[in-house]
Amino acid sequence: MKKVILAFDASHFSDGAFEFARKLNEIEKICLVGVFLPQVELANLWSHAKAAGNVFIPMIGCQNVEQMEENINRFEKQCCDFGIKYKVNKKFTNLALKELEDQSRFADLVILGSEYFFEQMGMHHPNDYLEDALHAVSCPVILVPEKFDFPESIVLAYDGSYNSVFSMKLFCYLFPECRNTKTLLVYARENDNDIPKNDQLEELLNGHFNDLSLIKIDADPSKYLRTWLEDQKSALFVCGLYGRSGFSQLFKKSFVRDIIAEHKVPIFIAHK
Amino acid sequence: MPKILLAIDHIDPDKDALDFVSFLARLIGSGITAVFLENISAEERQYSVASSNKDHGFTDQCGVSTEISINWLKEGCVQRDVNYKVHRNLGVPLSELITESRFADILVVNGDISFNKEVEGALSGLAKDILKKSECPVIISPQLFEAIDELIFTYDGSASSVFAMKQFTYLFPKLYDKKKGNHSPGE
Repeated sequence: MKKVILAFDASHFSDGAFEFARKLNEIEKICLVGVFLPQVELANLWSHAKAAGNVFIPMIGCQNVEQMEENINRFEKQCCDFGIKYKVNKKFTNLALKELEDQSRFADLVILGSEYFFEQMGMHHPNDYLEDALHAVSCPVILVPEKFDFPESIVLAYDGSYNSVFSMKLFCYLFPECRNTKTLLVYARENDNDIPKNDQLEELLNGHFNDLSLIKIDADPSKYLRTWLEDQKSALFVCGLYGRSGFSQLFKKSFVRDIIAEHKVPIFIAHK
Repeated sequence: MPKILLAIDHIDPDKDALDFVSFLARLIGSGITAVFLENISAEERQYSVASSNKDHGFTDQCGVSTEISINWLKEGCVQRDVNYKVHRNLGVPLSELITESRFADILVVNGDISFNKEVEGALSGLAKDILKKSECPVIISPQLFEAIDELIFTYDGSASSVFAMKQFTYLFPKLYDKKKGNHSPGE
């Protein structure tokens, strides 16, 4: 039975993230751990405030404690209603990101609501705090928008990098039941002739997917691929985590950020 | 079905490693991709120093010995009822193998695999480098193997020890019912 963490900040309950966990439990029973995170990193408060123009920084005050209790009750009730085995974790000794890192080390998957997770922490979407969380988490993450169609196909984003292949492998291990799901591997780079290590890649993926197609798009991914992705309804997007800076590969930070912000599809991201 | 790589010395392939990897392949319903490591340039230098006669054609000799090893592997896989593929790496063995490991689920190596024929201890320098740099989980094949009766997880609180346990459970779900022990270093 997989251990799946559903992480919430103190003041938001993501219906989208819970709905995704519920669907996973329908496919295969999971143990769902509701992690209700405390305040943000104190050391970062001044920098976030400065960068984002004096945004409100959430702290655990009376109002937040009440909100958190309400969210926990809601989580417990919904788990009972849908027959999901669950636990609640709300007693922490660390601040939010460190707690998430420690908890996720002993989990198979983390689900985050991409729209609400610490949304107060920045003006843009996804906010910097969500990106910090992605880097801190020690197991794969699925980012879920509030409204989505549960995936009926899989899009694997490949750029030849270690992270992109690592993410695909972790996805295969966690969801072997997707073996027969329609799967598309996308490689896109302008003026590039071949998919890197094509034979080895196919050898790997053919062992995990029975309905796999590979496509190479000769276009600037930041322009054409966005349009192309809009046609991929009900897809789960699997990609490697981008670096914190200076990432020069195909699926750049800006590209993945756009997928999160604009395309409203669930995204599976893993990094070692 | 996971992709299993077996790293093999092209001159001196190891029967015990083949026995072990065949067991794993049958256990998880997979085939074997054998990677023959040929360190032609380094071995050629050693050969040139040792032999004053360079007319024998070292590269040709290496090619012959690799072909013999490949045939040995093919016959061995057929006897053990395991599907196989063969990759020959003619470049720098370690970097070629690490690139291969990016596109594999498990890498099996013999602990004393080496291009240096002097005794290096239980783990050769090459095996240690593979362990450090591999981009998929590595299993060091035992010298003698009969069966797996018990699993021992070693845990020291580190992220890498937990990562190794998780990868193991994903790759070998069929070993779920084996007896498990958990030993910390102080025990």
